[in-house]
Amino acid sequence: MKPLTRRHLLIAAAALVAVTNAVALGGVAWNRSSAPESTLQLTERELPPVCACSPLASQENSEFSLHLRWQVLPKQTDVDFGVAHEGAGASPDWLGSSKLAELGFNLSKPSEARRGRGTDQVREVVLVLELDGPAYQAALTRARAHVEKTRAELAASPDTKGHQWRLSSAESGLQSEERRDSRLFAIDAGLDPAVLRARYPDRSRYALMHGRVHLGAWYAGDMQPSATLDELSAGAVNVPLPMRRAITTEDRYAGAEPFAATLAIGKRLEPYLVSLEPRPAR
Amino acid sequence: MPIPTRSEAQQRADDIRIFDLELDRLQDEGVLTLNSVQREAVSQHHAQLLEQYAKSFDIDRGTEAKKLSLGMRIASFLGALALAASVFFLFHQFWGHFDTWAQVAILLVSAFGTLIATMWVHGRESTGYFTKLAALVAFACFVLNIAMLGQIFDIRPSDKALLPWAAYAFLLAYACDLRLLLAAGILCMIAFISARTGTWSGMYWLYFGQRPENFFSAGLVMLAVPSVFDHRHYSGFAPIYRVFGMLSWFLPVLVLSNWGTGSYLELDRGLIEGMYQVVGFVGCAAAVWIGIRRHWGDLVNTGMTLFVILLYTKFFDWWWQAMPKYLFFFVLGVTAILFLLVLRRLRGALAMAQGARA
Repeated sequence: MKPLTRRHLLIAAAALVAVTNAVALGGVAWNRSSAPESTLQLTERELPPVCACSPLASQENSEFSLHLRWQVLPKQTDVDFGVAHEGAGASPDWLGSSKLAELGFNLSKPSEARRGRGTDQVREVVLVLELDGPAYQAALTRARAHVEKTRAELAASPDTKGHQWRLSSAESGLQSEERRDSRLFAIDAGLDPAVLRARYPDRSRYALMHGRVHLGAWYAGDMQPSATLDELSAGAVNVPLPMRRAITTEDRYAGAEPFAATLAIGKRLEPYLVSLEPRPAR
Repeated sequence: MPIPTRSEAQQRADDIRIFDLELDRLQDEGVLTLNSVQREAVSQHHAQLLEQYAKSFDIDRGTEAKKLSLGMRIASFLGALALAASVFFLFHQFWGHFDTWAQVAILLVSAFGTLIATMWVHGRESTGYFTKLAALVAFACFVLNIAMLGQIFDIRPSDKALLPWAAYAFLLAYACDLRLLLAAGILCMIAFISARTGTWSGMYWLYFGQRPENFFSAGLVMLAVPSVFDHRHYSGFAPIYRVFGMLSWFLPVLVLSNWGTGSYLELDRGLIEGMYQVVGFVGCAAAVWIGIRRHWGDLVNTGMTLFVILLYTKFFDWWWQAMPKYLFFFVLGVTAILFLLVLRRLRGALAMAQGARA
């Protein structure tokens, strides 16, 4: 009996490989079937190559991915820290107690005995990413206002090196925001994609993607809970070989050549590249 | 006579060698003498058995062969790990030079091809060393298969991938009698059960380690498996389940006995740590007791080792700063002597119980 059972087990292993691949590929097909959930027209500003420091970017890795880069408008009004912050690790102004409660976080204050020694909570949510919309315009407005303010301060005290440095930094920040930084901003989060899509119906401007919210352990008393956005669950976008060849002949994409990309978000809120073409630099 | 497994055949060969040595001693001491007919019959029977086992299972027939076999097992294990790593880096080195469907085809061919190779090798060799190599490479290819599909198609990471990996490792382990693959399957299953338990409390699955209590259910499942399913024909499988079950239960207890804030319980931190210390000591003692009752040496040794680790960590916590170092290590030494005395007493009680049963 035993040799027959062994054979059955190995046949079962083969069937498992087949079924698992079928499920995975079937899920991909379903994600990409019919009209995408949203479609965004992005550039190299929103899709830079994967960071050189990443383990994915070593010389012995020929895989080619772009990293979806996004920003948030922070809570603080002191723009010396930057008018907008890179998405992961940032604390947006809309992520307050009511939103955290809506996302299912336990906001009850820890007991006196456990004060300040709680454990962080991390939940996966659906983030709303807005492309070149009011949030980006607000970031530009903040940056321009900051330049004007520092210019006025310098005019009032022209010999102060600190003011000169601040003006230079502010102008550099404005230039970066206008030409290099991502126009994609996380503006909301929720648990139900259908509810969020009803709230943000424009599928060419608003994309829904899975991401994580991180609520830090916090102290009792009057302090408010401190939460940040974490990485997107599928934040790296694979570039198929034909598309890579459209923008570079090198083994690795250095990030210097500008391009226009059409990024679709499928039914499972997983992204995929529809097109990638070089575009003339402005 | 039922067909034995390789380990049963090896055990019989070892018993025959020891029987021959003891028979010679008894003859020299004049306690027992077999006449030539009896001696010849026994020798012939043993020779036939050993010949049959050597042909079918390539067993070790002496202590020198055993030592060489140990070396072969180590070489097989290291070779398997190296080949699996080589496959991983091979994929990454040349991956980007293929288009999407070529990549998918390569993944499918490598997963099926290595499985077929494992089946072929297993059918042709009796030692198991080359089968272990092939099976580990097959497992690595299947893990890469699913992981790389996720990367190619930007699939959202999920703990559900652990389930087919665990199932595949279990199937290979039971089909080819490989404890290494069983361990891999158990680790995947522990991770899956713990991650699922974590998601029930609302946390993102990847952070299940933040709450050590997520591992308890996995530990209980692993401890229960060998009791529910008969593993008599799979030598060494039941102890592996029990050892991993114990570790999956004990390591979180050890962590929580020193870091109570990681607990789900909304209680005073000191109370949580004290509670888990008690749970740890009682649990390990219970494991030793059950292991003695059921003749599960693995559970006795694991329980005893974990008990000592917990005890020594508490000694360190309580006395390292408070005592001079010579006194601290003296206390450790005295504790070890006390353990020896207790274990000697336990061994004596066990021998008496075995003698009474005989």
